Amino acid sequence: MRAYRDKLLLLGGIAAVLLGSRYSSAINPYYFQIIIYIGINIILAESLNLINGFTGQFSLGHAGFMAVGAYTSSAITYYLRPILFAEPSTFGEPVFFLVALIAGGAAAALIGMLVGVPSLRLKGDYLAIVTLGFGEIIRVVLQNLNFVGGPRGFSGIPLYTTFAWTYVFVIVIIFVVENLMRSPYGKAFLAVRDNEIAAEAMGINTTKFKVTAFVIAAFFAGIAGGLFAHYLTYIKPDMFTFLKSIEIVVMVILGGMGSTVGAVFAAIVLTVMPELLRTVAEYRMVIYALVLILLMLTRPQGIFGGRVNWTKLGARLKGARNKK
Amino acid sequence: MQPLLELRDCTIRFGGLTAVFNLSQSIYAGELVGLIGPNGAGKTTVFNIITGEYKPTLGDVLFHGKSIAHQPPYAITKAGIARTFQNIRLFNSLSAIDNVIVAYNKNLRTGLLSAIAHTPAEMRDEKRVMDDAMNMLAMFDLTGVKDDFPGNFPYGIQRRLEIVRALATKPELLLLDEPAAGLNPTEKVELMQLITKIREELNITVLLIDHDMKFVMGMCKRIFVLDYGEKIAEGPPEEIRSNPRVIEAYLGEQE
Amino acid sequence: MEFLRELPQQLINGISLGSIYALIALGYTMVYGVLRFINFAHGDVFMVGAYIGCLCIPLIMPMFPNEPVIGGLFVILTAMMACAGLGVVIERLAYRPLRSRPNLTMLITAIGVSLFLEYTGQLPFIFGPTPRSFPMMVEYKNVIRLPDLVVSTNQILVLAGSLVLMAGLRFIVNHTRIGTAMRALAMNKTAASLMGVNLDKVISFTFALGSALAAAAGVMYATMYPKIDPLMGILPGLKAFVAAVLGGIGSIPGALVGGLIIGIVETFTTAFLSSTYRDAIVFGILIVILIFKPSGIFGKRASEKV
Repeated sequence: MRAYRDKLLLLGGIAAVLLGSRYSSAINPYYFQIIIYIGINIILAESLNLINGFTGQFSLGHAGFMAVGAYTSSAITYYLRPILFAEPSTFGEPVFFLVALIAGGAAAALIGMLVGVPSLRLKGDYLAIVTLGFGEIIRVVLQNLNFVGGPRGFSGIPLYTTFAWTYVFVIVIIFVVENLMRSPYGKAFLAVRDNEIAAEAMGINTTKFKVTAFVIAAFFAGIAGGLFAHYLTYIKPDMFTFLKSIEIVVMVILGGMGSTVGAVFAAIVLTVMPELLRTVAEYRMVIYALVLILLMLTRPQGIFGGRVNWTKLGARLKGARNKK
Repeated sequence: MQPLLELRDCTIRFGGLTAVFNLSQSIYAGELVGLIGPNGAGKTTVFNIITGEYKPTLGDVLFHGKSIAHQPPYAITKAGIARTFQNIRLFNSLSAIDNVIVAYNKNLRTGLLSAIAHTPAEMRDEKRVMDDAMNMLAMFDLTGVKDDFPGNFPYGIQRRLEIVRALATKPELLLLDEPAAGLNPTEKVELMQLITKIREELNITVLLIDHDMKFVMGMCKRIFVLDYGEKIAEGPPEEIRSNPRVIEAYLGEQE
Repeated sequence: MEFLRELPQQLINGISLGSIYALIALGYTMVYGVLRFINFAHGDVFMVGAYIGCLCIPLIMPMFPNEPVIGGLFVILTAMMACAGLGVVIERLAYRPLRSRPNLTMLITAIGVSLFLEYTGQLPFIFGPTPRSFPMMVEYKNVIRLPDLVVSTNQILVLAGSLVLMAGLRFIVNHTRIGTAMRALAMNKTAASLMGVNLDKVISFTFALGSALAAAAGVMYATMYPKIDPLMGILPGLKAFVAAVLGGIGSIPGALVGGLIIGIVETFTTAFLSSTYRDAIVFGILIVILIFKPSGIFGKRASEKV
């Protein structure tokens, strides 16, 4: 049993993040920006992993959830900050930010449920298109909400996102997903992915599981959206098109559907790569597309994809520890 | 005595095709009943109606006297009916023991949030599930392969695992769809012993479909026969064997 | 009252747009019929068709100084042939190797091909990212000029062209050997191959046919909305897909009907409601259909054997 190791890692990880955040001002602002984006992309990729990788559903609308989180949290901080915090507050404002982020996540989760319940009766291609459609509808609706800027965008969002905030949530999502997938519930998700009819016959309410995956994933995508908005301080509906959804999908596919390590790896690679390819910026998407095609032709399960036998892995690690 | 499972005038139509017509059948607790018939007679369709994959167009299915005809499959499994499939449906990316653990989801005592937070209560639940799963595997000689993936198993082992997985849902009634298909004679004997074990040690009622006459007649005290979706005979093996309608139904087939 | 007065005009506009969607939708539906796969890159073939047309106009039109319609015909034909080739190449290189793999792999590859076409098109030495003007082929003249109804030569030609193409398709599908092979493949792949149908050839032909229709649609669309850019295929492609699903994916008459309905709905929404909600309504239709009647108007349900 993995006993208390996960909680140790959780606390240890958070401690490491808080320690590391002390040095964040010392880093070159360009690199700092990349580090923040890596964190946000890890959250996006891992949350999508829950839907695509672990439950085997195909969602092309993840940017929509991100948008809902971004706009909800931003609306809260933008409109309530002048009321609540006439003067800056070192304790109050972070709490305020946390509340706004969670509200954003909750709003995204709610949308996730609204999207999930009708859609998850559909298979493969159809589900993909429906989620894409929902993502676009969300974008169009946001474009018409003038109190959050409409098509011109929403600026003046407080700069609340820090290294600590971002990476604490990275640790949290990894903790959540990994614990979930190691539990019997997690195996049910995988069962739904492998053989839905058999899973249903084993007493698993597959629709409920699929919607649950959607809702949890949407929640974290919403958090990522909030972090993104409060870093950039400006958001526009055009930042959340299905092209963004596809970028996240590519991360999950590259890393390997159903692999946390893969999601982290791919998020890092696909955040850093465009920066390295700045010089050939116009070729970036072409290379992106070719990589995607080649990946599907040669190794569709992604780099870290394929089966991970958790029990054997755990036993192997335990055995290695016992040998000491 | 009230039957454990009762089919009442079940009819199911798919478009213009009537797959099962006016089927009434009772299964009593503790029985081992066989369902036979030529290919295409509708046997698997009957299973699908019982387990909820199909909803009957007319008629009803009663379990413990309560109607389950329009419930979804997972609810029927939760009520106490489990099944295996004609073409084995194991979870290929899960190890053998994980396949079995999946079946415990309906009996978990802790919720999703506890799983995420990995609370002590959830850890106890997990241990309980793991211990029980290990016992089930041990009972059916599958301990050796518990961490391996079913895709590589010989057919007989896959079948056995699928049955164990169904048993892990702690059913009262177990439906086996052609469990002997593709097995060699030795494996068939093992299967017969396994089914006997299930009935005697676990007290489970069994309804099985198969084409192997020796297998079915050797095990089941009561058999009913389907042809073109209708029941044409019912009774003990000796009667079925000599029933002219049954013989005629099968004579259309070359063995 | 306003609505009734404008109705005939918007109807004509809607049908023109709708027939273009129908042409694209036909490609989606035919490919789905034979491969059970949604070719995400189809909308981008439409874009390539428009560009090839654009590039060919200065070459071909001067050959027909007094018969612009004939010249236009050759432009469309050139675009159609080029894109038919493109469709065959794409199928051969990106989709055929994956035929035995799960469907999602092909879907993702299709997304990759789509992105590839869009962004390669944006490269400066290909089409360039800035929108381009599509040169006029046939002189713009209003054929009908009633107080509430204006119909241009362009619209008439688009409608006529679409009709001809669809009639041609109908002929191919119903009265030629390869058309019958396509239909057989769509109904039962295994049986068709056992009956001697060369699956690869028929699938290639299906792609060629669909791509040719998309190319024609691209050129015609560009005559109606003369600003072209490498990303122009995304939205029409998606809407044509909605049309195909609405009509029943896999059904050719369905693609036709679906295309017209979407075209009319979109035009009416822009005219009588608000253009900002135009796209959302089309997607809304998609969602409603997939939730309530996924097989569409003419489609049939396929179910999994338990």
